[in-house]
Amino acid sequence: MTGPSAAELTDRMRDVWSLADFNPVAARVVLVGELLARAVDVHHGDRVLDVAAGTGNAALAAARRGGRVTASDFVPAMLATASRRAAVEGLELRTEVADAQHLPFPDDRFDIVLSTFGAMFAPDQQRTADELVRVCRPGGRIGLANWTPDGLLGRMQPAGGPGPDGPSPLDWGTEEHCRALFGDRISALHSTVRTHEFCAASAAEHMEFLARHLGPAKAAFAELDPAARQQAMAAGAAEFERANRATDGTLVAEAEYREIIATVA
Amino acid sequence: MTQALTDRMRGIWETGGYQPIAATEVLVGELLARAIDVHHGERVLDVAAGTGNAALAAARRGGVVTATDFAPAMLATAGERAAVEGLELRTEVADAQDLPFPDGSFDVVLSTFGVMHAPDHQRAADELIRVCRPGGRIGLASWTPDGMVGRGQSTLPARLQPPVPVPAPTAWGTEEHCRALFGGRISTLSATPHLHEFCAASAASLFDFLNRHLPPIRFLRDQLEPAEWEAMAAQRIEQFESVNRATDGTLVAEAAYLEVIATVA
Repeated sequence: MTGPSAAELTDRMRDVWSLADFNPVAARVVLVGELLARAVDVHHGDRVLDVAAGTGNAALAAARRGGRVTASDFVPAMLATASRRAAVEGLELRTEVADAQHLPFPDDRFDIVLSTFGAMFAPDQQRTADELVRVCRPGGRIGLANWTPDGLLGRMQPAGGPGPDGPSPLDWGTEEHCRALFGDRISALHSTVRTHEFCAASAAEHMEFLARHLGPAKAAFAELDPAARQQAMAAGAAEFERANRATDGTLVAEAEYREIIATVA
Repeated sequence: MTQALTDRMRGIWETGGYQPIAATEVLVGELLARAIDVHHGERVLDVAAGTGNAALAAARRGGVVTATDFAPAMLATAGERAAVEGLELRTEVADAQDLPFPDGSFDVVLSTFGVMHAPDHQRAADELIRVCRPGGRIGLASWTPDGMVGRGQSTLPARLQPPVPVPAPTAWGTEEHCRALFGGRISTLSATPHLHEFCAASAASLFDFLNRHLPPIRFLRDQLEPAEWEAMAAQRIEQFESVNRATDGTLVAEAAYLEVIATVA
């Protein structure tokens, strides 16, 4: 029995990610893009692509360092938000609607290619990795931030990825898997495990927040009857609570991710 | 004397600008909000907030944030930035030396490259402590005397140096000065050196950028003879180049600052 094709999955994911205003989620994850742009060492004038950019966290961080940045995503509404954010910051940002698996750019077009919690969710992982390498010039760098399998988001089994039969998006959170995807087309790869902190009034409140603003979560919960929804929300909240380091009754959930920097051969 | 200086500084900063510079320093506020461990629901004050970098970072973590500055135009920009991010932010025009809040109103009091510029250091420090509740935290990011920004002070012609030996703003970038200002009213204080990176096409173009967007520099230019201005510019550019770690012809200037976190007794 064969599951849906990558193209069908991609169409479904585009619909799902279009369901909610994602920026409130992105606004809580700004630090990840800022740290990545610094780690990948964007210099003034570098041509930078942010793939599956969402509302542009990594793109904006690169632009702050003087990068000439293009943000691409398959959801036009998210790119519109990215542009509004850039405008109020006084930063230049180009946007282009594009699927991470089919980037509309010539070979070697960019000095730096970034993706924070973006490319990892594309159904065809090999094709996505191929595209990241293709559009990055030899000697250029690819910088990724990916949730790890053993971290909070890994345990949550984030909705929106391919079904249980396909590769898990969280595989991108391991160095081995990234090395396998990039093969000998990279000359160096190093990675750093970091922790992102999700703060909220409580774990339950954070789940309600995600159900409102994270398209895949919203879609998943919409399919459930009230009892099942309540159960799923409670299970999610329990995972956030397990990762909670706050002792004042609020939530400061530690979510592990891997920052990967690869140099294209 | 202090009031006259404050009025003059307000006049300078009210001429506008600065957001293009603030947009390059977002990481400083993000790291400070994380280091000081803002939790959801905490009442946070950003003093001399400018266009709100630290305030926005605290709001991303769920802080209930008020941004104050003595220049209304900058607070208006902070408000616009918050609106695009979907974050709540209160703003209030206020002098850091005379905060319009009752004692103990805040759990966390922040200032990034802000309060350090208030003419009366002691009074500004007293106000930070007064409005912070016992057990609350004060978090500051201040340029160090020997760092790239601090050394700029020495490039001023002697006739523009203050007639009486007031402490330089960058004194706040030393642990001893902060300890002396806070005295016995704090129970702990930790200081961590950081490097901020200023990226530009070249050292000269960073000088031009600061010259365009930093109101005090524009003011200074009006006070100087053309030859004095040229000499100062050349010296500043040389200083930027001396901390440049880029080897590709661009500028990645490492500017030292001190992150100070104090707990109010």
